[in-house]
Amino acid sequence: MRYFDWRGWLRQGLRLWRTSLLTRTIATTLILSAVAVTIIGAYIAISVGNNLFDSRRDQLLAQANRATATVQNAFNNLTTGQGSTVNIEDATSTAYTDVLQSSASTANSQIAILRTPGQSGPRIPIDLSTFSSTKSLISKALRKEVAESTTSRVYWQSIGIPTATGRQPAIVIGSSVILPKSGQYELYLIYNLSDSEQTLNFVQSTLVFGGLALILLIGAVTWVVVRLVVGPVRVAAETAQKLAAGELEQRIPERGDDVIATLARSFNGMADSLQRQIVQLATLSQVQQRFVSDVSHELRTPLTTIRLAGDVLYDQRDAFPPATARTAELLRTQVQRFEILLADLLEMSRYDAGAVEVDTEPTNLVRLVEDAVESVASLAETKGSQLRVIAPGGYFEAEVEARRIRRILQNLLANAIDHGEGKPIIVYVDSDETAVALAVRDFGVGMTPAAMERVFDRFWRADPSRQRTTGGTGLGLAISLEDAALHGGWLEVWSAPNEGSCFRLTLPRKVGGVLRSSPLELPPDGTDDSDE
Amino acid sequence: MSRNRTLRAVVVALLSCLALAGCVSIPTSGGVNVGPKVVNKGDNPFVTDPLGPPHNASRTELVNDFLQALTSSEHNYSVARQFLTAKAAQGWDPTQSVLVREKPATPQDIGDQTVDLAVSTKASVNSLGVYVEQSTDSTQTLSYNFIKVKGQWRISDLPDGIVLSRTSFENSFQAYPLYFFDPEYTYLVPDVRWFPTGSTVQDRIVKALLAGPTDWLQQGVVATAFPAGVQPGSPVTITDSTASVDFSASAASVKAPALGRMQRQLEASLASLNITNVAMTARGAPLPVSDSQQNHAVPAVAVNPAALVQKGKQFGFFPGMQAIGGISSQVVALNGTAATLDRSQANAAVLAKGGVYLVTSSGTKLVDSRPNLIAPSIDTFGYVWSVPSSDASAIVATGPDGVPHPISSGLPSGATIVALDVSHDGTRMLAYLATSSGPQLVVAGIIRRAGLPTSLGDLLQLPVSSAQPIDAAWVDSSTVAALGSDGAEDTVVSYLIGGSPSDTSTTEGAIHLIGGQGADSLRLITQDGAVQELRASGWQNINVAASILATQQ
Repeated sequence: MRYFDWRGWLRQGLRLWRTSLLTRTIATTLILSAVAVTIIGAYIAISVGNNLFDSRRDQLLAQANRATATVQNAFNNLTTGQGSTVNIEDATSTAYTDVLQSSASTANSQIAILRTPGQSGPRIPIDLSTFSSTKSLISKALRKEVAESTTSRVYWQSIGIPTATGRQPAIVIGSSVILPKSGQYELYLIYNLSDSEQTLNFVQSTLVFGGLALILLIGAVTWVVVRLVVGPVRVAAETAQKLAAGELEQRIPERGDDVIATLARSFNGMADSLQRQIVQLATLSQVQQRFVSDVSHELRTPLTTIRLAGDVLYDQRDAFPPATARTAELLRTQVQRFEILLADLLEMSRYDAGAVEVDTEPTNLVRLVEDAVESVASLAETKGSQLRVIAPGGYFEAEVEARRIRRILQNLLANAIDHGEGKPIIVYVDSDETAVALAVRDFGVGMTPAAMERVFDRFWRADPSRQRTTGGTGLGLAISLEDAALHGGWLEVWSAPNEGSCFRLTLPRKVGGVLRSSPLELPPDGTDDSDE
Repeated sequence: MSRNRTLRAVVVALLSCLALAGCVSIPTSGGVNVGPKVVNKGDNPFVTDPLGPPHNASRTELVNDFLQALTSSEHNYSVARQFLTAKAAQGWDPTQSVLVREKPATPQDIGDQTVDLAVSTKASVNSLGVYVEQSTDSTQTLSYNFIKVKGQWRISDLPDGIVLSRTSFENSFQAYPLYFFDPEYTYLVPDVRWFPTGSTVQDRIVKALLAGPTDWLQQGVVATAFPAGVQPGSPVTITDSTASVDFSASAASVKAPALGRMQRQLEASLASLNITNVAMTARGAPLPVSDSQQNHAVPAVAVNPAALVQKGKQFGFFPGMQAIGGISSQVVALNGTAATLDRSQANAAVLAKGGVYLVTSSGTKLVDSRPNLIAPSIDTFGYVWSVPSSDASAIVATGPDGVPHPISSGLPSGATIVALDVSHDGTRMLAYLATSSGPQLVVAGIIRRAGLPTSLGDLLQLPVSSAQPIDAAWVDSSTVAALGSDGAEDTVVSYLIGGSPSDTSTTEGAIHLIGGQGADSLRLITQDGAVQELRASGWQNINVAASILATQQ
């Protein structure tokens, strides 16, 4: 069964309010104009209503005055007639007929001629009225006023005549008349004002209808007008969106000479300059990258020759004098280093060119970590550092490129051994439902915060005087950062001087996953930066 | 380009709206327009609000107040009953009769706890609504006996019925015609009764209808479809202009054609209460009337509303002087002084030098050669009625075969008769006489035997004025008009049969009066041959100089 989803509609409405300038403007205009129209309409209805009632009442009071005069005349004529054969009995019915046939009555008016109670003498003629219910419409207060009046004036009161469908407005006007030889009588005329009420209702409904139509028209007009303004703004917004998405060719059409045209022209100018600069930068970067790549390639060829020659010399070092033998060893080591540096440079140039692709396969990270640890075990032994792996999680297979992750690990582990000062080195592996993290914690020399900021820079060394056992090229962490970024992951560092460092690698479990948080803390063993 | 066009359209619409709005105001000039007809509403009903007996009132005061209380029939005269002792209130029947008093009556305390009331009256109504009015007032004395109940005087013995002043009677009572049939069941014949307006009217109408026609319409003058034993059952209920009339069990045995006629009589009699359908039941069991059994009789009205005159050598309907096939030339040839055309418009009776002639398409026949005959009349069976002006009792009805039949009646033999007219439905006779004791305007029923009229029934005297009789005519089925002269001018007064006189108008020099389609078509002809019609403002000449103004049945 379908039900009316108030919440859904409300949410929809609020969303429309938030997102559409057009809706906001039109809604505000409608509400304000509705308020204004209502106030004016109410004023008109009230004043028309009052005027209708007042003018009708004055007209009816004048008629009642005439009716009273008619009745009094009729009564006077009776007694100045035939003297003793005067028919008092028929006085009221004659007066009644006179009033009805004169202009002093309207359709649906009721008349009552009642004897004032409490008088002496025979109660002739008797009370009469148009309907038996007429007497009940005259209130006691009115009867009292009329009966006790000493000046000859009319008294009126507003009443409601009960009908089958409600109450009809009416006015009862009373006055006193004297029937000579009988006593005082009261003449009441009840005029039905339902025609005035109908007129008023008609005016009110016309006002309501007119007001509604006015508000709708105002809404329509506002819509037309606002579209003139909002249209160009929307075009500008859409064009900017397309620009941001990369379509540098998008421009806003310029028409006319007004503010909107000025906006369009400025926007287009900005887009032009942006496009030029971006293209320039892109070209520059491309040139640069090509230069590096070209240079590295060019250097390779002579380097190979040099290495070959160096190898020959190294193989024959026994035949050389000790200084020359050492020189040959030195030559070999440095040529090796040079080769690694060149390879790294090439790698970096590939990253810069954006020409690297990640080739993922399901890999068990803990196994990977264990393998990497094993491979550096002998190096750690020489330094005296203990290597430990703590892996509460990560036993599943994540989609990563094993070669790159291994390279990162080896780099981190080598750095840790270098700067660990013989203290234990712990590798943590943990995971949650979206990410997996590895952390390499050493308790060695640590870094200052200034050093932490620059540790991932290319060719930057924290302490240039430090002996490098692993023969780092200065590009290791940079390459590791790029590899982590390729997977969509993070490589972060924590360090405190003399307390050690921790490098944490966080990777999404699946290719394309977006990292929000890391399963491991930094540092994972609870040592806090804020203690410093 | 379309933008220009839209712009132009908008501007035109705007200007026309402004123009329209600016033109709206109360008009200050205009052409001459026709308004509605002027109606003199004579009916201004009111209700009275009498009070109960005052404390410590004297016996005469109580009788005065009691008379006032009789004006209100609400709740079966509940206010009036407050003046009576419990026993008297139980036994008193206010519907038994109504005495209409013409002058205020002063109660006289004659001692012995009795108050006498001398009422000057000339009209009364009985329990079946029959209204009788005399020409002059007479005095009746009513006695009211009192006893003290809880220290207050209350009436212990009083005559049945109520007393009302003329104005109260006219205000609270209304004429309701009951309808019966002519002996052939072709026409509805009205019988006017008077009942107080109120919620019990329909029951009183049905009760009076079942009790049969008034005295002077009995002896076969009119026929009723209701069999003798049928009595009214439960009260009549009215829903949405359909009345449900219940009868006693004996109504169940009534045969079909009579049921249709009964329904027609009820429909016509209850029509003034805005009732269009009647459903009859016998003790609750419905009495259905199929479409084929329905009776469609209506009261007789004149066939042609135009004036029928003889002008020069032409005898026909004015204006246009359309001749009547076969007989116009014969009528003109007779050179008569009065003529009557029957309902079939094929035969005419003409009063000429030699007497009364019957003109048919087959020829002219002298039917009555007596001297000094007055204008003749033809009834629905084709009989020509003629009477000499010197002897009202010598009425002769001659059939189409030429055989005269003397009609016996109660009309005085020595009286001068000026008008003898058969009603349009052929059931009643109107006679206007000048007797030694004054003028008499009488209606009587025509008693027939198989269509042949044999005698007139009881005479109903209408309260005619003392003017010198000139002529009388039937206005419609329930009203007659009398033209009299008081020396200076002629007056025409209408009389409701079973009601009071009304509608007086004056004219001069009139010699003959005809009616036929209600008060709207009363016409007369003066001795100069000018034909006049009665309008709301009086008698108007219709600009034709005629030698005869003929009656149409």
